[in-house]
Amino acid sequence: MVSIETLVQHLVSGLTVGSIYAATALGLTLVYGLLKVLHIAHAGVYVIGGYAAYLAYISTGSILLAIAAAAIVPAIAGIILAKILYMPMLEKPRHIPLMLSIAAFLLIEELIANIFGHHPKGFHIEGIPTEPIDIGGITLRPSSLIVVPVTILATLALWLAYSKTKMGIASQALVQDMEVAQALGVNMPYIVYVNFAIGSILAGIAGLLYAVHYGSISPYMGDIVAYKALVVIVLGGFGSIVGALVGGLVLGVAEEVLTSYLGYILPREAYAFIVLILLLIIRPQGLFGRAE
Amino acid sequence: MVEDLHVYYGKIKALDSVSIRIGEGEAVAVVGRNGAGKSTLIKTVMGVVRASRGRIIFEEKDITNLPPWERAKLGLGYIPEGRRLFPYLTVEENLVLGGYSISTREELRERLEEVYNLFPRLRERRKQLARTLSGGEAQMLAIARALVAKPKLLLMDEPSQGLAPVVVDEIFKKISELKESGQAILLVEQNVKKALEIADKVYILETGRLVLEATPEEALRNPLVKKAYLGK
Ligand SMILES: Nc1ncnc2c1ncn2[C@@H]1O[C@H](COP(=O)(O)OP(=O)(O)OP(=O)(O)O)[C@@H](O)[C@H]1O
Ligand SMILES: [Mg+2]
Repeated sequence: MVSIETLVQHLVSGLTVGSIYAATALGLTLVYGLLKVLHIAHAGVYVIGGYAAYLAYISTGSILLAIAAAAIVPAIAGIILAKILYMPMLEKPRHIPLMLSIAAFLLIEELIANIFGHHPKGFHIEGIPTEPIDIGGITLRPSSLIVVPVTILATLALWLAYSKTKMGIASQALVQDMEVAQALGVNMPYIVYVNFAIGSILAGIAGLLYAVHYGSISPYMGDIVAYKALVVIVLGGFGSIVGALVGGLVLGVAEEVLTSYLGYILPREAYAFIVLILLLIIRPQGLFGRAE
Repeated sequence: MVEDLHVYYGKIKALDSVSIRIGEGEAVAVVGRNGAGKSTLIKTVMGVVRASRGRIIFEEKDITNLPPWERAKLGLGYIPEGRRLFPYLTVEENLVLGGYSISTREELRERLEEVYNLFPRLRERRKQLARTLSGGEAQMLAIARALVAKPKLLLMDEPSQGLAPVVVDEIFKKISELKESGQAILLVEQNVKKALEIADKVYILETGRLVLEATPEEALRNPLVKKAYLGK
């Protein structure tokens, strides 16, 4: 028998994992919109965010500095990746930057593994309780109460910036017609770097959220994100911000609910792709994509 | 002013030593058939296509190696072939992009007011997505978008394309008003008759080469032009 309590529990747990997917997918969706390339190295930026926060936290003990590190270091990493991987490759067929991006991701992972060790590192932030709490018969991990709202607020802020500010409108214009936007005065490289910086900050924060939720970080924590964020932007519709949020949450919940009720007939990862395939059959452009 | 311009797409030569000159407040037309290189010329002047040889001088400044957004700031306005509006932005957002290089809010507001006064129909549709406009309205918006920044030279690529004759007349009436107000224009057209009506000077481009430079009166008398471009 399915009780309401366990269903809600799975829901919350799915939303939490889904938030991390969503936060990483946001950067991917921004970059895809602009450059029409799958920015796989973004998953590396996410790992960098986790480790930057970890280093800042163990050396200073300050949560604020950890958050700052999870934002600033990935932003710089993202801009560097844009500068060396993508901007020189604008005129090349899109599979070339894609391959470079995959290579960069593996390089980042191995670099981090070599510097910090292959094993996960415990990363507990004091003040965030790790013991599950009970709210009306529903057991929750306190981290869910941080991870989900932070992601939703971040998405909302991003969406507002994208639809209301001059820079956001310029980004949209570049997405819709790069050549004409430039001819009207939009400094393309600058806007691309700003988008990379913002997407990378979100990925870095997601890396920190991962640590908050799981209490550890690992050089390979980006593996799952690397392809799940892809599933998310396909689910949500390429280039859509709201789609990345909803896609991430839907994927997290679907995985959680399917694995708990169907068990592990299939690995959790396989459920992600089943959800994706089912959705694409019904709505090929994704949840929030534009049908061309 | 454009000097000895050569442009290649890979190995294909699209422009072969093209030189044109546009004086202050002058309207210059470049006409030619499909594939003659008209769009290539205008794109190279705007900077979205690179010249492999030659120079582009704008107000005594060599802009050949400047990116398009710098050229926009210097005063080049671009009306692309086929309008190329931002379909998922509103009419007003399209105009705001046209004024991207304007730094103050007040000035932008003022400029938007001015183009709305020029094209009142756009004001009524300011909140509408650009993709929902009719062909004529879309062309109006493409022109208005380029005018927001008060360009010193307006580059127009086939504004008559795909429009009904009455709408073409309406668009050309606007263009001629612009010209009367002192706007310098480089107009690229297949509609030779219309182009000759407003131009001070006309060039004929054939497969990447200029074959004629003339005043509209001379062009109208030229038997080759009559035969090949005016169907007489
Ligand atoms: N991006 C491109 N890559 C390769 N070849 C191109 C490209 N753009 C244009 N060309 C070629 O360059 C030549 C000139 O094209 P262009 O678009 O300038 O002609 P046009 O005079 O504007 O034609 P139309 O009247 O059809 O607009 C054509 O042969 C065209 O095939
Ligand atoms: Mg053309």
